Amino acid sequence: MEQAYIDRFEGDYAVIMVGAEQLPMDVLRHHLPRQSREGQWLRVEIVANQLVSAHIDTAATEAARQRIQEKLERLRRGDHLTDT
Amino acid sequence: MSMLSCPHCGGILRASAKFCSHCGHLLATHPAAYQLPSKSVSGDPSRFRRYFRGVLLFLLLFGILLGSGRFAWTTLSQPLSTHTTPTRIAVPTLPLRTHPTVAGPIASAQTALPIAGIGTLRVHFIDVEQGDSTLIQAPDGTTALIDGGYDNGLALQYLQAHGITHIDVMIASHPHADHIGGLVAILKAMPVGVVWASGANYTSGTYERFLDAIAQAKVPYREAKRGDSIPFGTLIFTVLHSELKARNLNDTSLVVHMTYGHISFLFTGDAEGPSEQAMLRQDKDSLRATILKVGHHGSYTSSSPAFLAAVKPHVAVYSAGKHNSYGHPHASTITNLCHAGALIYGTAIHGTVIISTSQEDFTVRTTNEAPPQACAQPPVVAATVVP
Repeated sequence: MEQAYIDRFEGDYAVIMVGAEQLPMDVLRHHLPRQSREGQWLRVEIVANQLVSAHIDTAATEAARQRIQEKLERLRRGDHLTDT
Repeated sequence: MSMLSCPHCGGILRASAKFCSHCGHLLATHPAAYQLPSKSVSGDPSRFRRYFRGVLLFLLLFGILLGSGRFAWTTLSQPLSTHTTPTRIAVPTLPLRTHPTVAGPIASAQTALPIAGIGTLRVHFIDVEQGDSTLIQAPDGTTALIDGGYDNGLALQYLQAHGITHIDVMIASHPHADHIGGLVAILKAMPVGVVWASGANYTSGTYERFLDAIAQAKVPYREAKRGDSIPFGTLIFTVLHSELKARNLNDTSLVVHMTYGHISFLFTGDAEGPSEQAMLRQDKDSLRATILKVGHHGSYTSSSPAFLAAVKPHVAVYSAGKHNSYGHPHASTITNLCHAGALIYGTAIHGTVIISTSQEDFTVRTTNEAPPQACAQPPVVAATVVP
């Protein structure tokens, strides 16, 4: 199992970004869990470039949301411009 | 009387023609190469009189057509390619324009482009495969980059190959990976003056790496909303749309408009139907643009007939990868663009598409030599059979 996230939906396809490299992969949308949403993190199993299984990783999704929100707020305030 | 033949379509033209009245091809730069042998009209006086009357009749008809605007419309709106069905292109929705289109052939992929000269603005719709990336070079050397495609290095490679050493204004239309992924490497590789975004938040890994790259490069981060102006040297991008609360991330896209003299550009990101409808309600008169970056890679989700009727694009450019899984560009979009009277270019066919303009007119160059994309077949309207 490895980590992935759903970057977006394109018609019948979902574009998931897979692994540490976050490489794009097109998978049929109905191969993902029914309640899948854009931006969700997944645990996926890929064999021979085929998606075998996918589960929504709610904890990873929520952790990313909080982490990214804090980073965005820092940029909005301009904190990064004064970092040493 | 000497005549010319068009090198592009073979049509017969007046000796003084600067543009082909059949296909719109520019002749002014090299008329001598296409000059046909003159026909002798000496000898038989009656033959000369018939010929003279013919010339007078031709000039009279030409004057009538010119006066009605019909001739000029035909010149500018005819397809540049014999592959295109003239009747479909000739849907008379394109208004009379005072600037000629000069299209096709074109720099080879290996030919480095010269640095933008004084007065010339260049817009490069970069072939980044499936994704969007647009470089704008202002005449004073100021540079802007709207999106960077996937994180595959193609956008950075293009910039470096064309001598771009800095980006003054970076605009991220929305946080999908095929738009912001390539911006990460650019932020790490060269100075960037400012990053503008819609402020739409996302939970994706690519978006997080984009924010990290902005922070590490210590680049000022700004968010724009509808009605704002994004300074770009002596020019501005006017923000026509940005909807943070949109349900669909594509509809958070920053849509920006830029005018340079008589030539204007509309960059739509991945804005879909709801965004187009909002712009039609709020900014209909501001949408008109000579050059349209087609929304969402030419997907059927965008480019509605009503939207295109407001934009009235002379040229439409979509960015999509060859053989992409999603069918971009969709046939309905191509049909809509054809009916709107636009000449269609796409990175999937033409490679990188470069528009150069000196405010009055513009040229189109592409890395792959190909005519504008042919129109799709019109939808067949089934006849109603009354039993």
